[in-house]
Amino acid sequence: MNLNECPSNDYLAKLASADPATTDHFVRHYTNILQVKLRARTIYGHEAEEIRQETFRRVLSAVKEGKIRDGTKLNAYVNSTCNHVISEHFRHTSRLLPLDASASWQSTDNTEDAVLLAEKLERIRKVLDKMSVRDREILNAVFLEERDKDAVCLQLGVNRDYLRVLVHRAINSFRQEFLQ
Amino acid sequence: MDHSEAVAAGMVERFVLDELSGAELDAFEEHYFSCETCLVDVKAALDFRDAVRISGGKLQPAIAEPKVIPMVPSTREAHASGIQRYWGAWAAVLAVAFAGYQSFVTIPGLRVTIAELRQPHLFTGATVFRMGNRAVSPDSSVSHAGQPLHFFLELNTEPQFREYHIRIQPPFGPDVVSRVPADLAKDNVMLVIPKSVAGAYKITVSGDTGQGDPRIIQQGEISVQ
Repeated sequence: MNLNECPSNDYLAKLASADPATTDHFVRHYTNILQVKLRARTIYGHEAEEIRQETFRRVLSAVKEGKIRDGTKLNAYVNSTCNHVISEHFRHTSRLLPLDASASWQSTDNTEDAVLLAEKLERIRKVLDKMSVRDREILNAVFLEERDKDAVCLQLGVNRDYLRVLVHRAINSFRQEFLQ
Repeated sequence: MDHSEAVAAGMVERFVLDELSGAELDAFEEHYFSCETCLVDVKAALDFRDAVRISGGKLQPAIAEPKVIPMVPSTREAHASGIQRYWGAWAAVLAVAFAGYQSFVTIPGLRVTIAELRQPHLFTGATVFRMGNRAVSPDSSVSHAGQPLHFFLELNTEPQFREYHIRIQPPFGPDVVSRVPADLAKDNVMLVIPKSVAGAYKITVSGDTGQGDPRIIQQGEISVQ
């Protein structure tokens, strides 16, 4: 199964019978996806790991108990299970998120990761350099200062559509910088 | 949701801007679970968002090269203008005008302001503002733009925190961050906005254990109309 395919019923059956290769594939495949999902919610490090493990435990248990019979529903099941685990986790921990969520992303003891991070920062500086002062102000206000987007748009005289287009352009430029 | 629908609706951009409603978010997440293109786009968007965040003030644009203006030899003969010829007299006139402005306008104005500030004031309408956690941000709405506002912030103290950082993001202008030691945070903390402006004041409280890892524990918003 690759990412652009829905899991088949055969895949589900192998997962239910605890086939080692299928289980290993399941964990690797969804680790990658859940990492993105959790990162979007600024959940990193051991907290993300706990949520991921608990999600896998519940999904695999449900598959073994035959609660999922249609392979095409596995993605939706993993997603909704993860949502439940996230909400339970924050209910129990009174929602303790890093003040600067990106700090976890930034902190690394690995030299190779540190080099990659430095390279990433340099590339993003190039992307920001090419932007107008106003566009940089908007992105900083939205992503860095996490200010209310409507207030930012009002203050800088742009509408919400412009904000989306700006983000779209910035992401594309960022990607182009990496492709070079 | 299929890929073309996701692209047409600008789902990646809206996702990273946190603009999707619950149903839209579920639909898009289920989509990128099985769409490699969208997953790669979401990763790039998160990379960009996180890079802007960690850059902080460090990623200022490169300093522009100073403009070099070529020197053109003048073909005219130099003549000293009136300002150049009588610069001493002009400087004296300006100094007298400046001193006069300070003495008769600025200083009396400041004296009145200081005197007003020294007068005892009776503040009314101070309310306790109970903030939620990071996930739930209750709003409080008041309609006193232009007037001073007073709020008591009720902090959710926890024993492991040595101090609390209270960050106020006004509708305009720079953020203000205050640090409150844990022993003082047991009581309500007073927030004073001397002259409020219309808009939303975002308040974020973080707890600091002293190990350099402050964490957000409460958020709230006061809307002034």
